[in-house]
Amino acid sequence: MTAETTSPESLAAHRKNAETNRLGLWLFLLSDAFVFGGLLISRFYLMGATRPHLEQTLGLIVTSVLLLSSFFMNRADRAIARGDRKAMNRNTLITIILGVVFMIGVVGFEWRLAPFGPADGVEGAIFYMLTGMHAFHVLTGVIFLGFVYRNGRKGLYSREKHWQVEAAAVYWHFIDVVWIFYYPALYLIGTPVG
Amino acid sequence: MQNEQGLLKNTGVLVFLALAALTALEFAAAALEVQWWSVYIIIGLVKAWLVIVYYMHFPRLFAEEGVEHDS
Repeated sequence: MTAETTSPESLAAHRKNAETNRLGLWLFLLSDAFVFGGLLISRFYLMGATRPHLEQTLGLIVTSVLLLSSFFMNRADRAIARGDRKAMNRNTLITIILGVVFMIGVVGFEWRLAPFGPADGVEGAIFYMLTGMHAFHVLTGVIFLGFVYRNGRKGLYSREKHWQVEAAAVYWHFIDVVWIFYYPALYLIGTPVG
Repeated sequence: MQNEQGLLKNTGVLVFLALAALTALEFAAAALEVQWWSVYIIIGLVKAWLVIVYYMHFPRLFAEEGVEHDS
């Protein structure tokens, strides 16, 4: 069944389901925010006015990449809301690529360049825990977007029915919001140690 | 309708530019060794608010059934 074969009744039911799903998604994100918030508090409790010694330029680059990915995910969300499937697929694919680039930047480069390991004191534990937890969410977000992209290529979404795209977009932007606070906490605030 | 779409597209671009500018500002603050944590916290809160309202469409949660909110 493609997205076009929809009756007014099924559209009304879909809209009602989307409302419930939307509330559920935001409640899940709220609970997830407490996990990230707890980790952020542990960083300030354990490290205070110091921070891990990290590569500043790389931090700025990966942050910019994630912000850019949110921009393209918003374009994908807006595109399907006006029924433009091609633009949705294109922007979703760009978001996936940028998400992978972010993960390579953090896990592939930053983890290798960091002058400490996960067991080398407080800064190591904090840095790898915060970035690891965030990178895991980026990975699940990329997988989620991969499903959305595949379904989009099959033409399963329409202007009226695109809850999965909205959910993937909200989840992806949430990952961005988390990094908005993690970036200054890890790279900018305090005196570098380690 | 076309004007509305153009406005939404522009909003997305403006939000991205604001996020980029604020990120550059906090990076510059760190380069200048600004130690007031409140600077970074306020910038972070403004950036988070922009993403939550304009990209995550938080107001949709409170929309009436069938009403599209394009914030």
